[in-house]
Amino acid sequence: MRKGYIDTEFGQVHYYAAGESGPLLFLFHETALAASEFSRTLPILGEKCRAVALDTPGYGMSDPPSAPLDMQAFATRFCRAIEAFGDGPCILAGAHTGSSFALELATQQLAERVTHVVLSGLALLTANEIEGFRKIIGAPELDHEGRFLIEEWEKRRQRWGEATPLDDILWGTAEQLMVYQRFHWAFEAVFSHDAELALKKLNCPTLFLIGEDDSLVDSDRRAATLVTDAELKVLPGVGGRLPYFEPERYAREVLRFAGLG
Amino acid sequence: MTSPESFGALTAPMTLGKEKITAANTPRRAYADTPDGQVHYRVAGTGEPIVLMHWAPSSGRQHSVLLVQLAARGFCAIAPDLMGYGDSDKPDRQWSIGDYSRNLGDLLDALELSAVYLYGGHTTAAVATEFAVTSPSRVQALALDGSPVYDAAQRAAFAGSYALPLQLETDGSHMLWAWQRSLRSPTMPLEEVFADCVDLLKAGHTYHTGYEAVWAYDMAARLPLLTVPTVAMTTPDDPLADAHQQVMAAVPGCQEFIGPARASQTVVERAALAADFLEEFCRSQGADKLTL
Repeated sequence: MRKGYIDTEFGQVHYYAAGESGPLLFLFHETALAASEFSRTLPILGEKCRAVALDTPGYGMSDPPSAPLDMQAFATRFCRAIEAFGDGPCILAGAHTGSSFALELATQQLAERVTHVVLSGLALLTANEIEGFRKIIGAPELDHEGRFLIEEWEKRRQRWGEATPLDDILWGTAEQLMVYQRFHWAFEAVFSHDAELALKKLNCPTLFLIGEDDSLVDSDRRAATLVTDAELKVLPGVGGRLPYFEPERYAREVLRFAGLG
Repeated sequence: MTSPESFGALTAPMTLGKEKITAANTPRRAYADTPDGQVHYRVAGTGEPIVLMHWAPSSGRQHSVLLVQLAARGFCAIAPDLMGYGDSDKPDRQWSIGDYSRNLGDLLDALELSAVYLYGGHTTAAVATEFAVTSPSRVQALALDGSPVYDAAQRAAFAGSYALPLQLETDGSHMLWAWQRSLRSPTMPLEEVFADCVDLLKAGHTYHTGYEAVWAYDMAARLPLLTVPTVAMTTPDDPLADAHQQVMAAVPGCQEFIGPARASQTVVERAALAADFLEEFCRSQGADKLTL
């Protein structure tokens, strides 16, 4: 597995990549993690395809925009980076917010190239839900004692589950802290995106692949009913961050679905 | 476009001295392939190559402002992340200072740089020294900004007590430890403390490896072997200020630069001062590609 940067007119996009042959597979991480979410599954995916996980602009080591962007603007930035890897058919896969990005690209900017889509937690939000989210998300305040660091740690442990290995809690917390001022910006893109409309437009095979205990499992169940050519695969006993915590299963399902073994 | 380095220290274009710090001259980031793995680095400018090594447990981000200042003065300024820190790969075993020095040579090979001006501080003053001793033809001149010169007993004491491997606690108390460790002076801006703290957390289980290499390194024995023009830099509040006279005495023909207390300056002021000095120092050592 190797890391690199693509230089675009919007700044640098950071990525992880694995694999020397096979179709291109672009992976989009959830908020507020980074492409490192796919670091465990990439080497396995790389056995059968050229897998590239991109840091969303503003996250990980990708340059941020100067303000929150809408879905189309994020998609444009992703496209500039994706173009650098060459033409030809490609597979798109996303986790949570990343699913929204994959969906947008598959139905708009990359519609002619995408052969398969894998979505893990595609958020279908009502206006009320969006309003509710807007009220609670925002950048934390730095304090002189560093107490907010403990709060971030504790919040993550609660959300991810207290049995989660501490190293993994550290990874997730550090990724979010690195971009704390703007960690919620990608949510704005999701809020502005008409996901239902996009799902109905999808005209390639789509796999909804998600853990049974993932917070967005019901959203995926509903989303699958809106797509013409959809497969729904709910993994029993699996929670959130599927590519990170179940890298082999994730890779196997994606490769199987894409006809790569 | 704002720089990802702007944790608050740089959120708007600003001027200082000769140059305007804008998005156009923020450091570019890249990876170099070395036999031991990928080395992540930041680079700004074209011209005389100067390599700036960061202190443990930070990353090349420590020098983001200085890179830009040096670029404006006609340098090609490069700040690598030491292996095990920042976004560089992690070595598969505990490295010695000699290993870091070898990797620095491999980095220069990857960047096709035959010789550079070299700046290191604290942990990387050891790496820079070792590289200059073993590859003198590749170092035009050397700047050591705080040198970890300790006798065997001192080093053994440090090995048992300072920069021990990271211990994660369920209650998150290691997060507070990381914060307090990053709070080097009461006047440090919160954003700066935070940025250093995040770097420390990012290094995680390898944050201590640079220090461990220093405890095993007899810098006092290596300094007299330096044959490249060298300047020893210090400030009144440098934790390694005590070793300054030792360095001056040990290095043949050593020059000296004593700066004001770091705590009394902002990041940008410190960088401007360092850039001014390094420009003057390198020019005196034959750097002729610098702008006037």
